This record gives sequence, structure tokens and C-alpha cells, in this order.
Amino acid sequence: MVISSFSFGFASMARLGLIAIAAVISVLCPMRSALAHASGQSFVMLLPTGVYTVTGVIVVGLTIVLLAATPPGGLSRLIKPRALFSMPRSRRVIRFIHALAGVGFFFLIMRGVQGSTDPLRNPLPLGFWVVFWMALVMVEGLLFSVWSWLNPWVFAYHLMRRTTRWQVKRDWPRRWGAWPAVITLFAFAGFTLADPAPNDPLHLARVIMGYWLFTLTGMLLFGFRTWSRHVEVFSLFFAWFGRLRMLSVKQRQLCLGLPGWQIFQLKTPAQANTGLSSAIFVLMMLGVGSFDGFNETFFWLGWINVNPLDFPGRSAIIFQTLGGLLLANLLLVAVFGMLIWLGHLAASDTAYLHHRLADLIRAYAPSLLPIALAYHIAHYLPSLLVDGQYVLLMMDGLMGSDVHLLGLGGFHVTDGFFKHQDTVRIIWLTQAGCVVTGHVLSVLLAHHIAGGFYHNRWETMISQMPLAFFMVAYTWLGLWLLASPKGG
Amino acid sequence: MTNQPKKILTPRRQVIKGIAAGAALGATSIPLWGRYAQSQSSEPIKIGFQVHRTGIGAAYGRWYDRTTMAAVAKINSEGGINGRQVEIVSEDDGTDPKRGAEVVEKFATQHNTDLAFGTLFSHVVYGSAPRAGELKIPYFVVSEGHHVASGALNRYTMQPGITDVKSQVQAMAPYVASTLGKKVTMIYPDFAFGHDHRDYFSAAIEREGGTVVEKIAIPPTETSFTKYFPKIPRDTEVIYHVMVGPAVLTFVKEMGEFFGSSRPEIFGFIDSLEAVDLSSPGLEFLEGTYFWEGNPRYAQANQSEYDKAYRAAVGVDNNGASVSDSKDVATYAHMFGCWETLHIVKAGMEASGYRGTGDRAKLIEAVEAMTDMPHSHAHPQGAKRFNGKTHQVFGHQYITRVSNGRLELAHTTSIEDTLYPDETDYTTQSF
Repeated sequence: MVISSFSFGFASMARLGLIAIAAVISVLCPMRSALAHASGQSFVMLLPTGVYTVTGVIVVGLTIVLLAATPPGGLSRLIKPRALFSMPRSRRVIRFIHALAGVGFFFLIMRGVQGSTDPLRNPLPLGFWVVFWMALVMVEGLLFSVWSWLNPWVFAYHLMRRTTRWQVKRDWPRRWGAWPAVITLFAFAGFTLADPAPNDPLHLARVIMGYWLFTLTGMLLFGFRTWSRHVEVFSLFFAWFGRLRMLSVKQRQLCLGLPGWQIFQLKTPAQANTGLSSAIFVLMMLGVGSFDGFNETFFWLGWINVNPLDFPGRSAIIFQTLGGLLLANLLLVAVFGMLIWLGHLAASDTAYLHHRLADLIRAYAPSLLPIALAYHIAHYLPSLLVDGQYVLLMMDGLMGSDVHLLGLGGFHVTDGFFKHQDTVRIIWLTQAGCVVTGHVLSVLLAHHIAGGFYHNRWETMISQMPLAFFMVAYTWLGLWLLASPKGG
Repeated sequence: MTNQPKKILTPRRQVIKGIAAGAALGATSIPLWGRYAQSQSSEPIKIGFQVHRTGIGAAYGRWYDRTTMAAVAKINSEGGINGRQVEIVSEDDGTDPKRGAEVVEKFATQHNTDLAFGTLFSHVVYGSAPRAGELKIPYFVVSEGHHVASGALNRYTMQPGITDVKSQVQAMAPYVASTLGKKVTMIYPDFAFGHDHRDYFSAAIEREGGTVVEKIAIPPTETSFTKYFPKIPRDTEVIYHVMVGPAVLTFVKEMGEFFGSSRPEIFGFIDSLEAVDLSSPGLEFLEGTYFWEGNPRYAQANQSEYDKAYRAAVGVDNNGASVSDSKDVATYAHMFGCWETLHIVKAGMEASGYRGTGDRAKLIEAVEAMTDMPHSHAHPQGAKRFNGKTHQVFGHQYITRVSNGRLELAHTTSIEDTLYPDETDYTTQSF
């Protein structure tokens, strides 16, 4: 009875939800990777993407020009947050949710081991890749914090410490910084892009469980916070994207500001609030996101001598993918470092005496976060729109195939929005809008950061010219990636 | 579609005799056999479904999955196979040959499925079939590839539910030559897929008294085609195109712009526009052109009751789109192969008295013994003729013409049009 009334209540809601999703889909339809037959990308290739790209690049360029004309302090006022109201905080509620997250985590692992072998019917791959990795990263960056609630180590860590009275005894070597996190980010990106079967439920369960144990061990040895800040990839990933939210709670006050205001909360921009390793981590967030997209283009596939129309499968290009991933990140760090150093030299012939390159990278790296988040959204939106339907179906059938918790009996997953030019155009423009907005925000943040290094408008403007070139070029790259024919 | 078969699923006599003898022996002379048989009969038949969930085959995989689930629901609602329900164990192969071989191995060693089934992309078939042979698990592919019939694979690999590209292409030649024209220019992607079309069609059209006046190979990474169209000879009567990939709509658009209102006859394979709504902007140029279709996407005037029931079961409307989203056009020309293959598995298991994995060889022998299959609810695409020696089925092909944005049936080939001499005899291989 409970189930039937529950499902009745949800049936109408779910159908309404599906109608809403269909409406959203019809507006936001992006493209999945190229298929053997005509796909969404086929329709993209009929669009005047060249015109759209030039327009996007001009928008970013105009932002740079406008900033040059903005009076000093104007941007600071924009970025400064405003406190709205105080937020209640209940430790009991938080503990309960952490316990729930821990139980949910093990439920997913169990389903990965024992559930359906079909990745689009198993809660683990759907939960991890679609809900967590695709959707919740977006939620964290745009709406509200989710990682602090769903972190699957909090409950286990505190439970183990209390039951065993374990004391953390080791100090984190300062020279290690967050370099281990750089390695774990590369490892995770490698798993995402190069592993032949990252969706396989059992394989995924083993990998996640292995990482969970590795992390819990590290936390018990070095402490929860220390490990989270120096090694654990998701804590850092979500923490950095979380700093882009317009709304956030600081000292129990809900505050509102321009995306990125949280980056500047702790210290002055010039001092930066991060070590070099953390800055490299941030650059890699963008590097990984950029390569995950570039690696599907005809350009890349041609470069590694793969016929995109006869893609041999991920197994055949594991080393090429890992090599490309590494190169893309090295290239990004090198080019970014070189350009901000050039700008710094051009702005002041004495300033370089006071600031090392590492200081500049540390300060400027967070300015790229909006682009990284924009790439994440633009890249995963297509998959989310299709695979999100599988998530709904999975949830609908959690109680068995005969019980439809969400009233979705007879519902069929669709990708019809990839098959019509009108919807494809709207989707592409939505993705492009995301990319351009990300770059505009990055330009604003970089300009604000520069304001902390230089004390007159002229020097600030000169220092930003190489970086402006970078932003414009990266806008072009992002839009080119969206418009390019893809395979693989 | 209307051709009636002479025989219906006729297994070889010795197979039936052997099965009957085995059943009699089992029922009477071994005391524990009855209990074993009982426990076997209560367990489901497990079919390993090697599905392209990710990778370049994912869009096809979604419809293969939908068709497979519909077929299994039908079979189970009709009592299953030998009184046992059918259970599908799906594994994503990532449209990856190496991963495909691993998936087949999982079916054989971890899931202990009775057989493996469902692979579409031929390079995955080619990568997986050797492992199926080594592990001695029947591998029923739905690929269209000529690999099976060419003799390159093994006795455990069969393609009984969908015709192969060689037979499809050669069956087009008689109609093209007699109705559209004898001087053909071929435009195809410059890799194995396109080369198959080039080679098979060139040979077939010459047998019909026609000639291929120009072969225009397009590099796979090409995205603009205007520089290739001037290579089309002026005396071309028919253009045969089989472009695939993300630039295919650009190809159609640019071809339309090149020819304007004066064009030769145009014939293509629906693979180019599978799952694309033909009323899409930019495709107006295709009006009046012809396509091969494995199974007509649009319900035709002479629609059979079998096609009607099949569409209803899978959830496809009369325009070939999902009943829940008219924009979601199905991969209708290919996916029937899953439906028909599963019905052949059922027929093979029932004919061989299949009880468990120990009877895998019997299942293969039973399928090898099949010949003609009637147009029926089990074979909604049309009648088929299976060649037990080459493990390849042959069947009617459909040529449709774009008319008011719909594909209207213009010609149905005979099964004889699709036949070619055997290139192998798998039955000579031991199990």
C-alpha cells in the first residue's frame, strides 16, 4: 500500500517531470560523438558554426576591451559578495546525511557487483558516471554544495576513529604539497578516457572500492582534512568548482556574488590562496576537460592514424590516449605559464624581481576555473540528456520490473533531439553560450587578479594582453571542438 | 515479401534422430536424469547479449537492445524455449573488438550463458569470433558482415538473422541496371566498408551488362565534397553512394547544390541515413532517389500482419520512429536481425531438444540444418533461406524511393538475387 500510494503520487509527478525534461531537451539538445550513421554532429556540420564561432570570439574580445576601460575598483565592487541571511546548521542532520551517503555508497557498490551487467541498467555506473560525475559536478559549480554532504568517507572515517580510538600520528610532508592529487587526477582522467570498459559495473565497483580503501587508509594515516586537501581528487575537484557558485555559505551567512568571488575570500589576489601544486591541479581540471573532446575529433584521430569512421575501439589506443592526455596538460601549463610571464615582463620591468613565475601561476590558475566548468557542462550535457533518462528508468524499477516507482512503465529512452536540425541548432548554441560565458568570467577573474599585482590601469592592461590572447584563442578552441566532426 | 518457402525450419534427419534417441535414453535408463532434467528445465535459458552500449555503435545498440528485449518478451509470453524462460545477460562491448572478445569470454566463463548473441559492428565480430570458437560457445551475430560467409571465422559463429553485405549489394544490380541505368558512378568512403561496396557492386553490375564508369573514393576524414563531384563523368546514368559518418548530410546537401534540378538517377544505401528523418531540412534533394533498405522503415501499402505486430512489439510507429517520440527514428533497416535471430535460436533449441551448455554443438547442428524460413511472426522482414555450410542467411532486399519525404517500396528482390557460390563449409570443421 505504501508503495502504491507512493508510486501514484510520483506517477503524475514523474510524467510531468518527463514532459518538463522533454521540453528542456528540445531546447538544450547537444550532440554525442559521431556514429557510424548520420548523427547530431551531421546536423551541426550544416550549421553556420563559423559565424557563431567568430561571434563568440568577438564577445570575449569585447569583454577584454571593456575591462581595459573599466575604472579601478569597479570590478572589485562586482566581485565583492553580499550577505543575504544566516543559515541554520544542525550537526545531527549533517551526521545523518553522511551516514545515509555511506549506506548509499555501499548499496551502489553492491549493485555494481551483483546487479545487472548492463551499464545502462545498473545503478552503479549510472550513479557514478551520470549522476555524480556529470550532473553533481554541474550542481556543485552552479547551484549548491553536494560533495560536503555526499562524501562517502566522512561517515566511515569517523566511525573507525571512534570505534578503534585511532589517532592520526603522521604529518604531511610540506614538500609533497598537493602533487599526489595531481597524480590522482591524472589517474582518474586516464581511467575515464583510456580504460576500455569504465562503465562495466563489476570493473567499476572494483576500481571505486580500491580507491575508497586507498583513500580511507590515507585519511587514517594523515587525517581526513590533510588527505582531502592533498590527495583526494574528488574533494579537490568539487572544492574548486564549488568556489564558482554565486551563492555560498560563509561563516553561517548565505552570501551572493559574481561567480568566483569565493576564490578571493581568504587572501588578497596577489598573494593567492593556493600552492603551486594546487594551481597545477586547477590547470589540469581544464586540460583534462579540453582533451576529453579533442580526443574525439577527426583532427586527433587522424594524428594518431585512426580512421574515425572505422574506430578500432578504446583498447587499440590506450597509450595514445594517455600520451595525449599528458601532452595536453603539459602544453597547457607551459603555454599558460609562458603567457602570464610575458605579460608580467611587459607590464613592469621591475616587477619580475618581486614575483616568481610560480607565484604568478598560483595566482592566475583559478581564473581558468569558469572555462573548466563550462567545458564540463558543454561536454557532458548531451550524454546527460540521454543517460539521465536511463537513470530515471533505473529509479523507476528499483523495486523490481513489475513496480514502477515513478510511473514510467512503457517509457522509452529517446535521442530524437539529436535528429532534427532545429533542436540541434538550439543545443549547439546553448553549449556555445556556456563556453563563451565561461571565458568571459575567466577574463573578469584574471583581470581582477592582475589588479592585485599592479597599481595602475596601464600596467594591468599590458599584463593582460598575452592572457587575453590566450582567452580568445581558447574560446575559438572550445567552439571549434563543438563544431568539429567527431569519431571514436 | 510474398515469396513462400518450400520448407519450414527443416533440421537434418540425423539430428532429430540423435536427439530423439538421446531423450529416450535419458528418460529411461539413468535414474537421476529426470531430476537433472527437472532442475535444468526450471532454470532460464541465458543468452549473452553483446551490445554496443558505448562507442561508435551506441545509437544502433540502443535499438538492438530495444528489439532484443521485445523479442524476448514475446518468446517468454509464448512459453519460452522448451518450457524455459529466456533471460538476457547484457554486456557492453564498447564497440571495441578486444573488449568484444573479453565479453564473449565473460559469457562463457563467468555468466555461463548458453550462447552469445547480438553483435552488429563487423570488426567486433571479427575480434570476438575466435574467442567464441576457442571457448566453444555459439556466437550468433547480427552484423551484415561478409566475414561469416567468407569462411574467415569458425563453426561456432553464425549469422542466421540478417543478410550479409555481399548479397545485399549484388542483389541491387539487376534493378539498377534494368530500371535506373547501366552506367554507374560509385561514390564511397575510402576504407574497407566502401571497398566492399565497390568490389561487390562492380562485379554484379557487369554481370547485368552495366559498367562502373567512375569510382570516386572519398577519404574518411573529408568534410566537404564539392571538389569530388566534377569527377562524375557526364555520361553517368546512376550515382551509387554509400557515404557514412558525420559529414553525410553535408554530402547530400552539396550533391544537391552541384546537380540542381538536373541530375542522374541516384541510388544509395540507407546506412548513410539510418535513423535520420528524411523530412529533415537539407534532404529535399533526395526526393525521387532510391535506397536499399534491409527492412522498409515506413509501413508500406502491402504491410504484412507480421510487420505490424513486430512494430507494435518494439514500439515503432508507421514512420519508423519510436511510439513515444516521433523524432526518434529507429535503425529499422537492421534491427529486425535481433528479433529474427532470437527466434532462430528458439527454433534451433527446440529442434535439438537443447537442455544446457552441454548441448551447444547440437544447437549449432540444428541451426545448420535449417533451410527455408517462412515470412511469419518470427521473420517479419520476410522469408529467408539459411545456408548451413556458410552459416549465412539469405533473404529479400528492398529498394525504396523517396516520395514526399517517405520511403515508398519500389522493388523487392528475390532471394535468388542475393545468392552467391559458397566460399566455405563450416560443417567440415569439428566441434
